Amino acid sequence: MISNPDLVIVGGGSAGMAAALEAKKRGIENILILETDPYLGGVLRQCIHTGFGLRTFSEDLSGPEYAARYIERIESEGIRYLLNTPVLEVRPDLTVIAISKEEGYLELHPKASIAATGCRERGAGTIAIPGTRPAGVLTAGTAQRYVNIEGYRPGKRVVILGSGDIGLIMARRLTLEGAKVLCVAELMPKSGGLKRNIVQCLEDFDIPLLLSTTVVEIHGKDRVTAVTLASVDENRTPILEKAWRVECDTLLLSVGLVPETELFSDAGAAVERGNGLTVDDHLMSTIPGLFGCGNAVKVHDLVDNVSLQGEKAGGFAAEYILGGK
Amino acid sequence: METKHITCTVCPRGCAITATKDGDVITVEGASCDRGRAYAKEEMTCPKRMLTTTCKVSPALSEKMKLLPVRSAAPVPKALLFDIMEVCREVTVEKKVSIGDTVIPNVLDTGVDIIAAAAL
Repeated sequence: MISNPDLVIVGGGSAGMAAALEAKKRGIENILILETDPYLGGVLRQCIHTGFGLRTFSEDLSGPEYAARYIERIESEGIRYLLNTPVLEVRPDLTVIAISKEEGYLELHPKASIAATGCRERGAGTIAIPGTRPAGVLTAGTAQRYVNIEGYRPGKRVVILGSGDIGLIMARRLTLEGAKVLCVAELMPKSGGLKRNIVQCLEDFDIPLLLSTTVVEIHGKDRVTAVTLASVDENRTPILEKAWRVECDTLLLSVGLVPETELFSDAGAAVERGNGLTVDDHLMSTIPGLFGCGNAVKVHDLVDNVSLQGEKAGGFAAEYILGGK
Repeated sequence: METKHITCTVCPRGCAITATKDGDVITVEGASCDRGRAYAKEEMTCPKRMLTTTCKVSPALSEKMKLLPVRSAAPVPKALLFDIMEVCREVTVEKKVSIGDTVIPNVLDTGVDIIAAAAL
């Protein structure tokens, strides 16, 4: 049985683990991390590329290595966590309802909670591309999971829409795995990805980055057979007269990330326009005792900054609990 | 004389470097640190990259993890990336490893080991 924790952390990724470690350091003994996946570390597990930890550890680590550093500390500090445990509901009085594979139905009444739920990818449904909906249209993160964890290659001839970092990373990954990445199309006149990713993931492999370009149609009945690309004008309106068709079997979408905050907004917590949890300068949401950190508050470019904010939230939550407010 | 515009990838800052090679003399402009200068010089002679990929895990060893993330212990010549991928593709991990353990020693005689990036 789970004794009622003082602090519940929703999400066992980089933000949640950093928050837990800092809260423990500040004297909070009874902490519980709830993680919906069967492992700690969140998305880092599938981010097998390097570039993590340059600021935190002054080392160039891969995602699994970065996560392992925190997981080891969670274990050695004896911080309690439950895997395979989705949180179903958070209430304004901080009651947390979760279903655990081990513990069954849980109703927890912590003194404080931390939202460390990360973010999700925008999918095909959110960007309204005309055409059919065949197999072979998937988000870059899903493709990353297929390739790096499940061991499937999602396609042979790939067009990537959006030049976010996951899309760039997957352009390289799929190329190394033997797929032909035909191009990366970016609606905006400038890529939102990190410079080093544009160099190491696209330029290194001569993959064209087509700026001010978008997909205007998807072709194919059962499987993608082609997409139609078009340049866009300064108002981001496609110039259809100059559209061209590219034969491919896969369209990857790397079109942005959305903070995962519905659990908390359903409880009445305010969220920003981009769906990030609204927090004050103590990282507390509009619900007293509910704190937020990491990509649930704002989508970060670097995991090091996520860990840093997690740490701060853990500290503020500890102060809140110890202050008896 | 050969001039190359290089975006530095040592850190996320991404300095725009101009490197010029005149015979054996390489001059570097635009780098903010020594690591950046060293990187630009290497780009002009033998560009190197970190390689990260996965190796198959024997089903007898782990049912949960089908793939082990691995990486080069140091950057490897860019020209060899695809050849090293071929080597990694042929390897099946048969025994337990910890982070940093060598999976493929001295891959293709580069002097660089392929190491485990996760524990099994």
